[in-house]
Amino acid sequence: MNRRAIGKLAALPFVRMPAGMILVGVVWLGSLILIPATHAIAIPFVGMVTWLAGMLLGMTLRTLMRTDTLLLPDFARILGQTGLLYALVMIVAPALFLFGVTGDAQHALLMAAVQLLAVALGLASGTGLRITLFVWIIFPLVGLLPADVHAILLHALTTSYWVPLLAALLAALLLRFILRPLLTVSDREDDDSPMQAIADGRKPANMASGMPQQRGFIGRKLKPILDATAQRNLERSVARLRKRPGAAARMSVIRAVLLPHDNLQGIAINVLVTTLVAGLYFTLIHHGDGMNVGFIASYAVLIGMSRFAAVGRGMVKMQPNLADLYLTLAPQTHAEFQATIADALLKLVAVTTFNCVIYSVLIAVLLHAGAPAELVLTALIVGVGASFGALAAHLVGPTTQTGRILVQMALLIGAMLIYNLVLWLMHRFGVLTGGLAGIVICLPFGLGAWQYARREYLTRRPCFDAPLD
Amino acid sequence: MAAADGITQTQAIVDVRGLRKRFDQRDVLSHLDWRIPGGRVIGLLGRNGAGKTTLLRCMAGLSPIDEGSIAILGHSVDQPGGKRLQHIGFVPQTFDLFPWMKVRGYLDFTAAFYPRWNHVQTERLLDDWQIDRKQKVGQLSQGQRQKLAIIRALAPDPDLLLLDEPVASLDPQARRAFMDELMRIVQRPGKTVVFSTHITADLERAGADIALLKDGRIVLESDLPALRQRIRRVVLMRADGWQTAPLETGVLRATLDGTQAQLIVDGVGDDVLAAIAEREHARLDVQPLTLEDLFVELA
Repeated sequence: MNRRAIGKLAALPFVRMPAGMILVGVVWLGSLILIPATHAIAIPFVGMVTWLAGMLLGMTLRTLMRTDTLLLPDFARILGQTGLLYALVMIVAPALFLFGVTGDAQHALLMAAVQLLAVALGLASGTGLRITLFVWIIFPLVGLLPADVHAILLHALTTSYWVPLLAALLAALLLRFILRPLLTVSDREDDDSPMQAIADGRKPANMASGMPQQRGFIGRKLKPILDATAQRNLERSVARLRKRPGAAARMSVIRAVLLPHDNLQGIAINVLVTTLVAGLYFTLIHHGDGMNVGFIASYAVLIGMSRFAAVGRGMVKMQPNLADLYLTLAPQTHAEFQATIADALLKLVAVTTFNCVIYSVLIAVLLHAGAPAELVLTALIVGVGASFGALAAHLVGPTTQTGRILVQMALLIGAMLIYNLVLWLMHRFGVLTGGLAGIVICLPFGLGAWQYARREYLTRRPCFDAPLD
Repeated sequence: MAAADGITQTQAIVDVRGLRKRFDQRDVLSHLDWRIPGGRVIGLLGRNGAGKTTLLRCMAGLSPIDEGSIAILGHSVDQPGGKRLQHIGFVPQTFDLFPWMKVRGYLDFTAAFYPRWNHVQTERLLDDWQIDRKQKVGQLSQGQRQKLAIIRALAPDPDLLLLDEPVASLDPQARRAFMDELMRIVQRPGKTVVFSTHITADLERAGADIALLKDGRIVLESDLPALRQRIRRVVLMRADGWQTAPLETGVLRATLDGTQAQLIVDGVGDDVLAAIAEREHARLDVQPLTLEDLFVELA
């Protein structure tokens, strides 16, 4: 056994994402300790944190799986042994602890199986596997089941040894799905703009530096279409610039290069795909009881805003590419170049707001919302403010992977909370007063953040170095 | 624009003074001074990690400097300085062009921003170097990407070309074609080329002047014939063999092997060498060094 190599591999997540791993580790240990006091709350919490830990491990795994790593002697075996080590800590140890506390073997086995499933799901999310999308469909599907089936399932969960076994088998299947493509040496897919939207088949986790991008069936089919629209848009923009040179035409060409798929046709295709997926999802959950329309409608902002995860990553990843743009644009000062980049990205505010409104209309229609205008208006107000805020945060925010993830999470949660706040204001004080209050809350914040970030960005010297992470 | 804003061939196209560049508290370039007059081809030599890429990136204004000053075409690179930047052609060591763009789209986009763009030359090179205009930049091989970077750098007819190992990924045919193209360019008045390379044969073919970067400074500048005249291999042979080197001053390296004393000498005249041979009762053989030998001895 190559203990040194296993040690290095096991430590890698802590080296790459020290803050995230330590935080997750502390919360995990804390919730584990709480099991004797209140295991009904602590056990699901342990599972959730395990899922998060799995996600961080998946992100590390994805950056690790390069052709040169796969060719290291005995790599697959050492990786397997490292996996076993993590399994001992994350799966076996909590189950033994529970058995020690309760003396209930059934419960302990169930916990081990659920922990395994949580790790597998986390790994799937972290490595960017699209199968995780289906997890979100499971919950509403469970809600659709009749009460009798619910009762039978609950009984089986607490008494049958088949349930842990089935969960473990499901996890094993999932792990096979995750690991097989990662352990296979394959051709690298051609690159896209690092700032491109996630709606066309990629997730931010896939966009780690130097990593081949995984695309699902829809993504693979859409890519040539989106590329063709990008090419046509670029040709048109260049032709316009040649015909009538000017600041607007110039900016249009720069945007066509930096945000190639954010042209009218590209946006329409992305909206169409998201509409189809969201339509299916909301049709399913529509039958669930006790749903909060406002909360679900805030998903419109969540989906729209998810675009900025790619922007944060792209801002760093694109640095070397910007050297060529810098020489081409030949700005008078560094600040002029920075202003060009910042202003080019402003298009994202319009695109994101448009997407938020469209998705909001879609949700209002699918859920037969009682006050659709309120939902759409809220999406418009919050979409503008949150987009400005998100662009500002990613323009001058942290450049580390963990930092970017934390910022994006804070932005998404913040945007959803503000969406619900503005919606509540409209319910409480009427559309006009509530809407105005929403504007007062969102726009000064968004515009202020944007202006500050732009000013700060302009003082920074452009950086053309390749990112290290 | 003739040689960029009135800079004549006698004036320095590149003027680097007291340049210091640090990475993580480590000096990569230190108190570096370098003046390059117009109309020259300079081969920048140095071992791996000597700082060639850093120096070229600093000169192009792509990397901030810690101390000193760099003036290109008569203007400081502290700020890009507008259109002046378009008179610099830069081929980076890594090909950070836009990989998601198609070759045609990329060149059209770039051309749209330049007041002068040699479309005829660009099309000819794309054909000669067999680059598919419909392919994405990211789908090109390393060598093809390097060719594209060279085509892009040459197209605006720049007054100063900074090339960071431009032929590293090229096959021998493409390398020769590139060197021919480079020769054609430098024959035009006022064109200056600085290129780093490890392929010394190319420098010899181009008749380039040599600048050697070592310990963070330019430690040697010379044209090739003068360098060859200065640094030579001297072989002294005698039947008694050698206990000590017959000469110390001006010797870069001495190897004593049986009847032979092999010396690499710098700036030691023929008369001095003849006198030593006579004094030591040895047979003298003076041999010129190839540029590669020179590089090994000096770098």
